[in-house]
Amino acid sequence: MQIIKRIFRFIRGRKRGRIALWIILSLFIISLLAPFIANDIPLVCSSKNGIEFPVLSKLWNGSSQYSDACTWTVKPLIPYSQKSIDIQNGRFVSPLEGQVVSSLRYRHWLGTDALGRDSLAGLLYGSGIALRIGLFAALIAFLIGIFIGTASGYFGNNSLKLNFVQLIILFLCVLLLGYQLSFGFFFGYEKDSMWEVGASIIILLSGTIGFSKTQNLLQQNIRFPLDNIVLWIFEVYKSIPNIFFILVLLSIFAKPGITSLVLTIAFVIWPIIGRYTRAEILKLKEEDFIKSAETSGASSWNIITKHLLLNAIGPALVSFAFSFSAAILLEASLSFLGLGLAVEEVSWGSMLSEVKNNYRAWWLALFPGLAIFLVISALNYIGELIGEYFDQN
Amino acid sequence: MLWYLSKRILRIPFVLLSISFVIFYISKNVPQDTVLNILELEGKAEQNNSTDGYTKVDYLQIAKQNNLDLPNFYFGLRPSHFPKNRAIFPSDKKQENEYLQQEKRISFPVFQWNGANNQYHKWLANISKGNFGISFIDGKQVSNKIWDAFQWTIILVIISILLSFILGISLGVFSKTTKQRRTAEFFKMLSYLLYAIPVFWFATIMLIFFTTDDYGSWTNIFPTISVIDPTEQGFWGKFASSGKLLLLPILVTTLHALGYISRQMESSLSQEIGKPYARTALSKGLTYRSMVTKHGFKNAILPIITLLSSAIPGTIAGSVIIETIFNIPGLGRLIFQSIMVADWNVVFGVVFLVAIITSVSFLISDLLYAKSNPKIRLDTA
Repeated sequence: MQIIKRIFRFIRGRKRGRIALWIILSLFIISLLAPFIANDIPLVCSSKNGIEFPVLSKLWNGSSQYSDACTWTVKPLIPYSQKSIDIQNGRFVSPLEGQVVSSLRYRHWLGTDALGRDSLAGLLYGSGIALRIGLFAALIAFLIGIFIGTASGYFGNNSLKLNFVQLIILFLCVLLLGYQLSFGFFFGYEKDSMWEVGASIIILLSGTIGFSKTQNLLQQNIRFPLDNIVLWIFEVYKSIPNIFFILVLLSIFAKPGITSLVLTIAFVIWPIIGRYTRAEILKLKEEDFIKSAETSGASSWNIITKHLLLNAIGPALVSFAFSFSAAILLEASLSFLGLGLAVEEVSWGSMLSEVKNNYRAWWLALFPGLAIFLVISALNYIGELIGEYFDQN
Repeated sequence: MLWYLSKRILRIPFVLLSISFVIFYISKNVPQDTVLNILELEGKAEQNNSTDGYTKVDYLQIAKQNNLDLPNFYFGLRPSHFPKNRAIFPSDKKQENEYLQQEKRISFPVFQWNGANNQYHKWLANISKGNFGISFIDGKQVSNKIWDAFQWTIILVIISILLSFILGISLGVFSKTTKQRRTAEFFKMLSYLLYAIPVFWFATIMLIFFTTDDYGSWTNIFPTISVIDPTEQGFWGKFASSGKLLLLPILVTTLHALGYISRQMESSLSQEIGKPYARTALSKGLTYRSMVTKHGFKNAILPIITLLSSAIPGTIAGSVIIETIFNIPGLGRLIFQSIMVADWNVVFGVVFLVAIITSVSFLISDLLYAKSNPKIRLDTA
């Protein structure tokens, strides 16, 4: 924690770093407060039933039941939600031209799209989607990448030795895993539950780890070429265009939505983190303190968790910042192509893609794009600064 | 060096083989019915999943012609109570699946050897002869379709990469050698901006503001996007009539890559300038400019050259968005449209082509690197 505090102080010390931190912070705040800033239902409504909070109750239980006969109401700052349709101002109304609104308060300050949805409200709600997808996809990719990168970097081709029993268990479990995963492939038969996959992974791990102390079973230790296998996976990843993976995975997932998009993006970007981590671990492995830990008899687990990962926290943070921004960019490009999210969801990319229907609607391209650009450059700059901080020390 | 070269070349077929398996595996897990697609193409089926217009005999015949009745792979594991040959006609398959799902019992996997008579083998054999089959959408040969698209993409890619490398390298050198610090700062900022702007946003903005004269007559610089005239014969005929449509995509791709390359060139130069030989050159009495251009440049250019080879596959893969926005009938748009309609033969072809280009480019880049840096080739030999 001390180190994170110090990194924050370092970033705050730079003028541009301060701006970048503010951009990310405001992204978080806006995405949390979006329903309270822009909504078509009132925040507070006083009727004969007493005082009601429609926005809160909608967030709480999904329905916004409130009596129409409010004696007084408090409406949000922007009286539109991202889905509310203003028929009178449909068909791409520019922010600069005259709008059919009752007062200045109801004006669409950033224009509307083809259906008459308010751009500003869409922009605010889109920040939540960008944040959720970016954060979760980066987190999943980060965990997979760190795990595989560390394992392949530390063990290499020679260090991971398996005895005969472990090898047999490994072989059987890989066979079982393949059997579970390839049901559709080999039999054209959809399984309705995937719990066997998890079970076989657990058996695989427990079997290979559990027998690691059993030296006397059969003395032959066989080297497991972990690094070669991981490098092979990276090479295949690099050769197949990402767009193929993305499009195919999205069509395999039954329903479009944030979850499938998050998993797809994580699946595509984890090798970047994995490769980076592997290189860092390879560098650290040659340091003296690791060598001395090895000679004093520390176990691999202790070396990895207590020495390697703690010292690799700088590069890990850098790669997390970069994969965060990469995930947001990927989500925006996919929504721009009309993929991923359900049609009624409004994200920055899907707002941008509406320009394809009307090339005169410059406001639909300018503002969401600017938001994407600001967030991405802020994240990249923060990543660069973290790298700089660790280079200095 | 020869040993290193042969080792690297020998890897390529294995990588391609594993890629072919991955692609094939994924395509078999995508929900789609190839036989129905073919029937639709022949005008026998109206829509997906409609049972009218074709008979079971038709269906099975088409499946047999396209080897779709064979097992998928050389071997498989099948639950012990499953029949050896599964039904393929949709309604039969559904019935069988329901029956098998009802039968709740613990089933042990049974190993099944299919021999060379399987879909993957036949498909691979066809591909190795260069026969990618036909497209399910218009019945054209896949290789012809890919070649038509490839020409557009390769022109786009080669021109923009060449331009961006020449301009990017000179910009990087210029901002390191110029004495006007303000100009250097300006170019540094510009290249950062160009690199950081999302390419689809940049493309859309250019398209909105610089293809019409809505915002003043001077903004109408580039031709508006339009469909490429299908009546023109041959690629060069089409290119002559609508090649000007490539102007804006080339500009956008070039500027985006330019930012990255000039930044890389600059950081590479800064590293070289800090080294002792640069100080030696300065203390010999060379001017700063000639030290940078004559000594630093030669060393700094090496990582940039290796960037060049990875830039080609990267730009091809990244052309999906550019080509979709600007309506260029290249590889990127082809693969996008083909995946959306599950036209797998075309998708296989494009992915394979890109994979081959990628492998060859990485080979070239590794060789260039090994040639310039003896440490690498001695380590791995």
